[in-house]
Amino acid sequence: MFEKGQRIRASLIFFFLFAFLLTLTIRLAYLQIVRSPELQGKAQNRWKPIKIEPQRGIIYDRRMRKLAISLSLNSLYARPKEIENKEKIAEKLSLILKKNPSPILEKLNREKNFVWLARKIPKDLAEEIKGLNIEGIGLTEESKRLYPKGSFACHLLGFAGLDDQGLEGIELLYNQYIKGTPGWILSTRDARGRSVLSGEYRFYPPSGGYDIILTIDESIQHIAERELEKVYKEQGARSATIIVMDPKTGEVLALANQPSYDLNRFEDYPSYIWRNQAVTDLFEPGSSLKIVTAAAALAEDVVKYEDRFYCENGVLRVSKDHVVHDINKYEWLTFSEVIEKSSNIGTIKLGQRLGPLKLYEYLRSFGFGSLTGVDLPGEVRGILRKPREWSDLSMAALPIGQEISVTAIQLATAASAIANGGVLVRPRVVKAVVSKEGRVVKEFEPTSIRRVISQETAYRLTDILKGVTLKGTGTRAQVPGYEVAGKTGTAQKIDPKTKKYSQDKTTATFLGWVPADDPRILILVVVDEPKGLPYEGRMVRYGGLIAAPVFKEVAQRTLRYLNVPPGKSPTGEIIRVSLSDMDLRVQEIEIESREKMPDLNEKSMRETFRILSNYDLKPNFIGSGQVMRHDPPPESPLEGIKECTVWFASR
Amino acid sequence: MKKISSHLGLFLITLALISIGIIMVYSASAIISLERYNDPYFFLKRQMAWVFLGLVGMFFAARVNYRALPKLLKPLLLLTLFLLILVLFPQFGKEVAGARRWLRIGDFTLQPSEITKLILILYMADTLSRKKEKIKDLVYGFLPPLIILGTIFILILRQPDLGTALIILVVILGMLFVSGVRLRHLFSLFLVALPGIWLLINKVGYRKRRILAFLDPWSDPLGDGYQIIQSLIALGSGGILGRGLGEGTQKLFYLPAPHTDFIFAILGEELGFLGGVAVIILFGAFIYFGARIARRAPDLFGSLLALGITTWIGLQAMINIGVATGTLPTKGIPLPFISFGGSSLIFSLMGVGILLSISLQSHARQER
Repeated sequence: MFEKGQRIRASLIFFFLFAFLLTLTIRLAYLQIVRSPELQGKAQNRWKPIKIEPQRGIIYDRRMRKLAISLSLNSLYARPKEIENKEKIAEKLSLILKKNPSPILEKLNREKNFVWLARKIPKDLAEEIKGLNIEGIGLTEESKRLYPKGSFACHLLGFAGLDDQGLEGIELLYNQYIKGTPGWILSTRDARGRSVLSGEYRFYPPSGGYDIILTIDESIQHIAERELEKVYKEQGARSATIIVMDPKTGEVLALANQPSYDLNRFEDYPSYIWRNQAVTDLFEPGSSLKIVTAAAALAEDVVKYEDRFYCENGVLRVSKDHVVHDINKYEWLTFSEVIEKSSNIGTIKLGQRLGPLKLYEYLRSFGFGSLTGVDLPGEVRGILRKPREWSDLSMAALPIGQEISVTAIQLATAASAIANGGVLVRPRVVKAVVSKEGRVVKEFEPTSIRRVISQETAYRLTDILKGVTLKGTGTRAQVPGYEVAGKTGTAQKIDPKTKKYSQDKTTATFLGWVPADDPRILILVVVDEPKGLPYEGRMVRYGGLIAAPVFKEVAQRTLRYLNVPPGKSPTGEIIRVSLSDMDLRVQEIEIESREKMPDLNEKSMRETFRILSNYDLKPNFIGSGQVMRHDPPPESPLEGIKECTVWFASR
Repeated sequence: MKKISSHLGLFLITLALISIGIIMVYSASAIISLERYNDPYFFLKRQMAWVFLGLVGMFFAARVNYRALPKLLKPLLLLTLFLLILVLFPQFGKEVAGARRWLRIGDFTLQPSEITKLILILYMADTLSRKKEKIKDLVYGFLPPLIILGTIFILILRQPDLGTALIILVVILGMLFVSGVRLRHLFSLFLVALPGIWLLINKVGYRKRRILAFLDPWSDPLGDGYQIIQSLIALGSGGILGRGLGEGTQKLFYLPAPHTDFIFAILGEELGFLGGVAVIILFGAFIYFGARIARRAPDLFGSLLALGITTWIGLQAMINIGVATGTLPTKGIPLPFISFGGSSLIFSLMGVGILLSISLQSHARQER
């Protein structure tokens, strides 16, 4: 409600607004009706844009070593209207460019303000032309993508096409960041494409894209690629893949596939070789998947270390016409031995204790059947059917890694969860996006997805997996001076003709991490259809024989490169003796002090676990970090006591 | 028109303007969206989401009795000042073409000056309606609101965003004028401010160039005159009937910001003089209903509030159209309800909600 004076003043304001609106209407009518023909004419005389591609950003490894760069090349243009003696100039240019003068002259004679004479010419030629200092001839910078190391990290980097668009790998996925914004050359023309009056010309320079810093380490990638190529060639394999990652952060340190290709000549290779098999191709993992079956069984408390499994002397009939074999015949094996010796029959029985629903739950939880979310293009989910779609034979297949298809990155990520103490992390290839000025545009922190097993379960399983390389199927993966936890895999491939598992086509894998108790690296080696090696008088294609040595070589060199100090227990032939010595010693201590509670204060969870495994106590762990206190307290008698509780806290 | 209630009329006009906005944002942005984001609907999808949020905000504001709003004023005013200061820091403010006007919030951005307009109008309407006669006094009446206005004006200038700062200045001075401030106070303020404005324009290179370019755009057709010329070419090539929806060519490369500040030029090119006049008439009708709501509001607070919101939206629309038609020098200001942009859309719609609430309240009183 306004008072009288206010009402008059308000009316004045609104009157002013309406007057303004009327002015605008008149102005609009003037532009769109009176001046329309003239302005329409101008629209046709306007600037013809010529796009100049910007320089793509550099791709660095984690230590700022250049893996993909853009070269500045010069392109030569002319503004024909400003050129006087066209024949002579065409002649001069043709000498430098080593080209026929007539097409150059033809371009110079065009009635245009702007023509390209030559695109992307070498620097020395450009300098020479610049030296001539001809009126109406100019040079601009254009860029060309170059991969200095050819096929190095080809499946990771991917490549940019001729139009500087990312087409594969990081170049594709991070194209938005890498590509930069284009520049323009504007020149005028009329409706018929002829030049107009003054012939103006303008240059807006392009601005370069952001740089990418990978989690990849060039040196480790080098080691991995060399060893992978060796096994691929020696074994005449169909293909091969290696992934080296930091299991704690999910950072991929190296990733390579064979066959590989030269990024600078990508168009000379068939496009299936461009695919990054580690994320796009599926395989049946076979025995290496047993780590998940074992993890589930331990986590669900359906098995103890010393539980024994009857391994049916190597032959288990699961249905009328389906028999599961073990490579070696066993009768009774403890739980740890089932894993160490990779008994299929033992693992199937372990799976039966879990039941289909639990097994499925853990496989899902470890990330099978879903994307890991790695920042590489073309990742596939893999195949993990739901329990209600399983057949009668599924429970004799899934626990040992059949009837399931995985990608290499999935398998490495799942194993990382065991190696790092139970947390599934998202694997990553890019660490950060930075601008030319050094500003961080985007940084990718380690992301944990979920806890899949407890820390305790992860440690128990790691202990068993150490046995695989000490006395089981994976002894060839031993790295002198370090403890290795790992698992071999030898998956028979289904023959497309007979639809049955083939005897001589296999996928040989090795999956392991080192140092086992505090892993710095986790390595997965997959060799598809190896030719095999002679062993005990016949050709075999076991993961432990073909993939494990690759692991050993890569791990050994990488640990040395990373300056990881050797652990307390050396390995090799001598070691097994010393290990049994240690076992004896532990038992002695055990007998001595079994009646009293040991002092666990300030011990780590892993140490606590190891000490307590010598006692007949059921431990309850609360919290994480180092031991704060425990019940019963140190030195108290243990007679009649069946349980103990330990509280942890981190400092 | 007398038979239509003000709130129904205002609501329908707003809906019409929003619909034109959605269509034009899509038409103007499809090509750049495709080029930049590989998705022609990139801007359209966002605009639709903001229309939805804005409509929810509008209905909410319309349901609330506007007299309850002053209770929230103090914290809101403080929040506004805080945001305006925060945006000046490089850690929080996102810089686009030399100006820090947007706060980064995750993947989205918020333009604090858009909230400021609404909050400051609310604050002024509240203070002025409570001061009544005292407003004629210089020290107790005129100066206190002027200090708040001055602080906010300077903060927005620091971004820098002269266009928004001037809109706020004019709208608030209009409210002061209507509420009964002595003319000689206003006039002396104008005399004091004059050298300041002259400095603002002359000291900052780009502003001076923009004014010069405005006076003679063709003197530097590829530099400062570029946007104006391209906008005029767009309007001129539209003619009376336009090239047809989606047929415009200026948006392809020639006119920067085709879906934001210069959307009216694209509208004029594609829908012609008729389309442009339709939009002007819609804004005229908006002002008409806004003025009616101000006149019929049950109290002075409501009247001043309605006046402030109506002048804000009306003035902003006219300045935007003025820039696009080369009637005014270039200022980066969105066309209310039509230009792409979340902050502008959401807070303009909240403003409409408050207008609706005032109208609904006066209606309820008449019926009693």
